[in-house]
Amino acid sequence: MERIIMNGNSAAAYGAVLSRVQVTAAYPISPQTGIVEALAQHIASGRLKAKFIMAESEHSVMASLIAASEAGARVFTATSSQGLALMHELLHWAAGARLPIVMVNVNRAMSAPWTMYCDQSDIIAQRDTGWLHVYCEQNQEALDAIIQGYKVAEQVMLPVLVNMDGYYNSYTTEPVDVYDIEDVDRYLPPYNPPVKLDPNEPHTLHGGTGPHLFMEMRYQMWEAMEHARAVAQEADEEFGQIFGHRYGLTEAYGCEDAELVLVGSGSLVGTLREVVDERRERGERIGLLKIRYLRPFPTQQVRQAVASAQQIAVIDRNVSVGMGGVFWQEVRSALYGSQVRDRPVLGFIAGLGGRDVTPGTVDQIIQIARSNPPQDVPIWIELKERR
Amino acid sequence: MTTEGEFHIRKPPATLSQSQQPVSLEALDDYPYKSVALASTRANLTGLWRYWRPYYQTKRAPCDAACPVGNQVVDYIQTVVEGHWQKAANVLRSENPLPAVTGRVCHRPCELSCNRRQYDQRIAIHDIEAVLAEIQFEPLRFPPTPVPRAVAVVGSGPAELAFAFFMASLHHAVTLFETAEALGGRLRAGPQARHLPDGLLDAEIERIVGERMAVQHSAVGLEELKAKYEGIFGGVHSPEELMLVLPGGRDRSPDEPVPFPGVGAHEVAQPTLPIRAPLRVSEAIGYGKWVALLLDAYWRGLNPADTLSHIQVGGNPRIVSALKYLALLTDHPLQRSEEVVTYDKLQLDMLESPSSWDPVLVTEAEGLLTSQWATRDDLQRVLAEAHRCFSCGRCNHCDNCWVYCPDAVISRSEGRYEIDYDYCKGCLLCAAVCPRRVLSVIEEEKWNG
Ligand code: SF4
Ligand code: SF4
Repeated sequence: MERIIMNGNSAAAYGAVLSRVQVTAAYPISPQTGIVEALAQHIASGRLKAKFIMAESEHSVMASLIAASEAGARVFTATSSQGLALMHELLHWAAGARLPIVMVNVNRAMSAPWTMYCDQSDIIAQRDTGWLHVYCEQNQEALDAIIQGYKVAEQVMLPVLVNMDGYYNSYTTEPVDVYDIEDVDRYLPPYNPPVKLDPNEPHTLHGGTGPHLFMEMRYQMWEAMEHARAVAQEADEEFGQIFGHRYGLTEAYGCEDAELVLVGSGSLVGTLREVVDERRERGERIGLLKIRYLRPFPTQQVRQAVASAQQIAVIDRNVSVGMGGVFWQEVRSALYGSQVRDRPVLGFIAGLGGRDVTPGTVDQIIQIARSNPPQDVPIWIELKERR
Repeated sequence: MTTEGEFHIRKPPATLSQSQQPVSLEALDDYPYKSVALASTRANLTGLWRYWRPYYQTKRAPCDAACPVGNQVVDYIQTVVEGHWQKAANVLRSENPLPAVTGRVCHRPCELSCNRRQYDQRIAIHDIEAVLAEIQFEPLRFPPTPVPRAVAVVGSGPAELAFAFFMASLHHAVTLFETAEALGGRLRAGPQARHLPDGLLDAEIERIVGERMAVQHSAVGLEELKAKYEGIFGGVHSPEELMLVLPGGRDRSPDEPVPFPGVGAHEVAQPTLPIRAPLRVSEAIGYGKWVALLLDAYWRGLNPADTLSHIQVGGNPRIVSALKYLALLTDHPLQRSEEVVTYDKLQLDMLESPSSWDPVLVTEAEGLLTSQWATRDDLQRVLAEAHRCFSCGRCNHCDNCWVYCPDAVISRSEGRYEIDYDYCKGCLLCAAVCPRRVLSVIEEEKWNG
């Protein structure tokens, strides 16, 4: 193992290398480009034996990866924002075709107006495509989530989207453990799909399917995704034993006795963590719930984490216009029907389009939360006032 | 209702059924985890939707169409690329009795019309030709003629040599009259002579004459010849003016016109036919060949004008192909269109970059060299050059059609592709990705007549 200072893009590329991906297709888009460049270098240097396809669009990227995956290859790609959106129809295809593709999304707000900066509007829009969704806090987590991603994907036969924050992860350097590939081999066996394209035994895949057959196919996807919770849990546990990093589907931090639980995802969790540490030192009962998996949604873990809380504040770096932050909605619906259904769940919108979520931002959120604000509309934080 | 069962990935049966029987999926457990056809979909003859029919058809490369000799340039170049040197030499020698000469002195109209010239640089066709001329070959064999004729050839310039060569190959008894000591006419004395190394022309002429024709170094008069021969060709009065004289004999009277095509405006030629000798060497060779093949056709009872329409190259009635003539005589019509694949008809985006070649090929060719006029270096250079050729109009197995057909209905075996028309929907992607216009398109209705 080697500990190297690197940014999130490099870490993601290492994740692909250590997973011994066999085919990668890519189209560059900021802030993901570094991943593609690093991968191209790994392949050119011979460190990774893989076919690199330069596609003419993200749509073609996903199309070629779908084909390669059907042929039995372990495939990888990365994209951002408009690129991810361009893949949209094929994301459904990849999941419906039950292909264990792993893709990194380095998130970036969807335009217009044109922007390069971080928020989750790109990835959130793909929530319902049938992929597993994993949100990373740190660069190490991105590397780890890719390796774990294949481990899980190839058991449940569903694709995995690993999300990291543009700029905050992609361009920030941190120490990252790069494991010995032999150790990763022990964790992640070669990919051997139950069905693959074979010219010697041709068969039609995903042909026209009538109403008498379709629902059962969807139900099987549902079943696989439900099952993915346990598989992901186990994969994380085994990973922890070998490599020393464990994440869980969620992480409850200081939640046992918390009156207020802050809920977040992605890189802003690091900031929440600092504020929570500081507040707890001062004796304030504040906890943190990091949601790592958005799909499958870890309903039980969320319910448990907030069991003692008087108040829950969800911080969303996205907004579903007309409703509110998506994590907020998810948490609320997870709690509905549980014992904690009456607790106020506040929704905060923060950090859109790359605006920093600083400890000061979090302080404001805590302050507003304590003022018992309205619960059924989202609260926009650090928004300029009207004149 | 849903069931909380043990999760597992349900594989489809190990060998997917190719049967046409419908499969019944009664229970959830009958379903495979992903949508794989459990029975064959072959019953759906999707080819019935087709409006346009793609089909393979070899066409003419511009180099071929420009060569006055009738050389099948793209064929011999691509045969070299395929690694068959001797076969390539056979193709070359079938059409051209003097390739070592034309490879050095021809004015190279082929290279002027080479498509690659518009792309970067023409193919050095003459170089390939000259080197291939030194490779062992097997001469073309024509079926025997029912009545071999006595033929006199007067003079031994390129036209006369070519005429004599093809007449002898077509099993006629040829006598060559040349007053000079050495054969070759203007090839020996003309301005081109300095391009031919010592002995090269001798060797080339020896390959033509060999044991197959008589040579007389005495002067003869036309009347004398008319009495003894059924066909006389050459510079009877002067080397500048070639003549074909058909004195008549067993099947026609001396004055009866011969239905010989295409000299100037004459549709029907008189038995004595004076022609100004073409100035250029390759044109002269082509002319000698043209007269020989059509005369033979006439003697075999074929209509010469008809024959010409069958054996001309690239739609040019001045250029004929011996291989096409052979195909006609043996009743094996070549499946080749004479449509010329000009530069605008190439799909430049789909052209592959030159492939690398195996050095073993050079060693193999070295073993087939018959002279000192080509060396290992020459072979290497020519092989690299051959690999630059676009193979215009001639399938070189680039696999594009096979790869791109979205319905996977093109099969590939032993260098041949086949389209399964039961399932081809006629999307024409194959035709769009064929770089060299081999894939052609026709409306289905027209194909069916
Ligand atoms: S590229 Fe090859 S086939 Fe085409 S014209 Fe030139 S020599 Fe002939
Ligand atoms: S690409 Fe395939 S389906 Fe389309 S026209 Fe060609 S053979 Fe037919």
